[in-house]
Amino acid sequence: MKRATKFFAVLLVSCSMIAATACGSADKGTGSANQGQIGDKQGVKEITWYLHTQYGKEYFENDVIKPFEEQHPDIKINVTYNADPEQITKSQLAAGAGPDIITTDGTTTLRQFAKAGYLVDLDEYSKKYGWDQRFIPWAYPPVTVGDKLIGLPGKYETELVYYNKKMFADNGWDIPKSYDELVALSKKMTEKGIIPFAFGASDYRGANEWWLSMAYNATLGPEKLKKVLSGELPWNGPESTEAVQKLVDLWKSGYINDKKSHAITGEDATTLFLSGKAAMKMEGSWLLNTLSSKAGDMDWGIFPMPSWKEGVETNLPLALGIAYGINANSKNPDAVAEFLNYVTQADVAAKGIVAMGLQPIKDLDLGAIPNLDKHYKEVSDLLADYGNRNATGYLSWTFWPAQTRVFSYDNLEAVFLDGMDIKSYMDKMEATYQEDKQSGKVFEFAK
Amino acid sequence: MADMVSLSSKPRPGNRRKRKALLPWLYVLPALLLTGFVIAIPTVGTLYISLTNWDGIRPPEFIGLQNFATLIQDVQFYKALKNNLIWLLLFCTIPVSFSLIVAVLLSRVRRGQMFYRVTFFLPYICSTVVTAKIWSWIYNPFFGINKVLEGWGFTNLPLWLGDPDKALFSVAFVDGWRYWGFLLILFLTGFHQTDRSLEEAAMIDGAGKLRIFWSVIIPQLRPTLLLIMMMTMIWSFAAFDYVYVMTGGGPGNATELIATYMYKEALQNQAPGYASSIALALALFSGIVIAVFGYLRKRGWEI
Repeated sequence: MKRATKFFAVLLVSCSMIAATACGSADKGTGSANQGQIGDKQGVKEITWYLHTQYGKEYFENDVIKPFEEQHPDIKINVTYNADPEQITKSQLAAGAGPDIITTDGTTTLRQFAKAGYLVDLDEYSKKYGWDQRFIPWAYPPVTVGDKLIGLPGKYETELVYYNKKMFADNGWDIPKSYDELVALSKKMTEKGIIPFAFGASDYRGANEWWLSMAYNATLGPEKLKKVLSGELPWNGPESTEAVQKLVDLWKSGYINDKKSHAITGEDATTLFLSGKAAMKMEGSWLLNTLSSKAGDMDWGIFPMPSWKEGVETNLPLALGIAYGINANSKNPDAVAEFLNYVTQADVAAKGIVAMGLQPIKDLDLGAIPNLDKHYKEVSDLLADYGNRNATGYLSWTFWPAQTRVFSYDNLEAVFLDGMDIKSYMDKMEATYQEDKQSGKVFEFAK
Repeated sequence: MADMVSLSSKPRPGNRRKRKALLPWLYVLPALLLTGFVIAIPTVGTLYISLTNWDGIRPPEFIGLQNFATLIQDVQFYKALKNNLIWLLLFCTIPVSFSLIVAVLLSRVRRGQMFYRVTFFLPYICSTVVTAKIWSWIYNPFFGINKVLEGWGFTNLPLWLGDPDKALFSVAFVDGWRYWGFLLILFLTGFHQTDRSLEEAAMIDGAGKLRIFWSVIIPQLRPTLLLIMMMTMIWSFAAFDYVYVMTGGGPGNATELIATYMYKEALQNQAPGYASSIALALALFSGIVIAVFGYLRKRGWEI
């Protein structure tokens, strides 16, 4: 059976490699990923790394790899850019291969890799490089399995409400402080022919989880949500049902993109916001990059989504958007650790704020970054404030178990469109959570 | 000695026959090896994985036929299958009949036929993702065709990709728009192989245009027609790209097809084992189509 497993795993890797090369989406940067697997040449340690084609290429090439290789002539970083590096890494790891540096979107997959024994335990490196003091305290639990550090946080994300400041000022609208105020404000906007929230998910159904995550965090608050995520409270209990019901009410009232969010793309929704057809947009902190470059003269601001329930404090839900680990099969784990240490140094990470997003690194001086849009500082200050008050919640792509998460966002539209009633949705979510729990995919919070 | 040499150098008729029989296989060997590598081996792999519980990360756990038992009770799978059957029905009727009619008309065009051929075939050679994106913009309720129609005074316009009752048809229309030009070329090629004198004879005998179409043209086009029907049926089961780009299976799973459902299970839901059982079900449906056409061929139908 083991032989067969190995055979098919190798087969899958071969197929994925063929797909990667045949599709033409793989774009080799400074060298081939496979070269690094073959071995070192003339004493140079070659390290392989798979990265997304979509973002950060210039930053990684010019601000990270080039200066690192200049400082470390004995280490060469071979990057392969691909549309879905995580998927390729997954099948390669299953076959006992994979790149030296493991990069995942969020920590759910990274934690699964660690549990399957694919990653190097980083505790020793942490002591050597001082990683245990480098990041903000919130960022450690998602990259810790048992008591061991299994990865390094790459960037972190929160969800915010972006709003058209001028439109608010012209109409005398105030920032809402509760769910009722949010509903009242949305009503006023709709009466004026303005869409309260721009939102589109036709190109990426997963975007529905942004709203769902927000609904859970704003209605339950971090403590109760933690209990749901740990299985102490059921997913089909009154607390969770109330969160989903409130979201469905907002959608059905037309406050979320005029009940057409499922018919337009995320980009279309951004256009609605930028063109003044929508007054607000609820999205992750990654939108800072888009707005700071595309908003032009538009005066826009941000505010945390108010609490959706009396007695629940307004909070900022958080997630890790990228995490790094070291492949247990790497021939050069020390060199990889040296590189990861470089990537996560405050001065290097600061250069990647615009290209990559906010970095959960202490002592990151945003003021020192030239021409940085003021909103980055604003968000950073908000995060520091909410972090210090422990008012941070749990976004789905880091803390929710994989299958529950996919079910939740994949079927939310069916609830919006009356294709599924809320009770069936919640019951199925609970059943899916139990399956996740059985297969050990539930996030283990520190006691 | 000389006799021996001459005897041994003279190829025996049996050997020559064997070599002659072997030669074609040698020619197709590279293609066979390639096919074996990219189709046969992964197929066997899929068979094995369908018998396992595998999240794509940890080693697969053998669970026998459990994935198939789950598949039989999976409501979402039946929804996807129903959508595939609607898709199949649409594609076996509208683009096929439309392209056949246009091919008949076009075969009568003496001047500028190539222009029409190229124009109608153009969508087929355009990138799927590009055309899907363009059509998504056309369907966009805020900037697309609805906005134009509203300007002309139309009201209560449908939400093309947002209405669960219409989304599948909206996407199928786009795929059909791309596909029919290809069928047109196949039909026109088929026309070139027909005997025009039969049409003239029928005309002299007093047959009308419709009668000639049904009784003279269609029988001669039967091999082309059957080939097109077989291809269309198989491709209908494998349909994926336009749905994936334009709706992602939504809204509310209204446009989910077996292939998109399989993709989701394999890559998003971390269940490649279960996805493999879906893939085998998909292969089974295509296999049935091929078997039916194989049977018809044995019964004397030309394909």
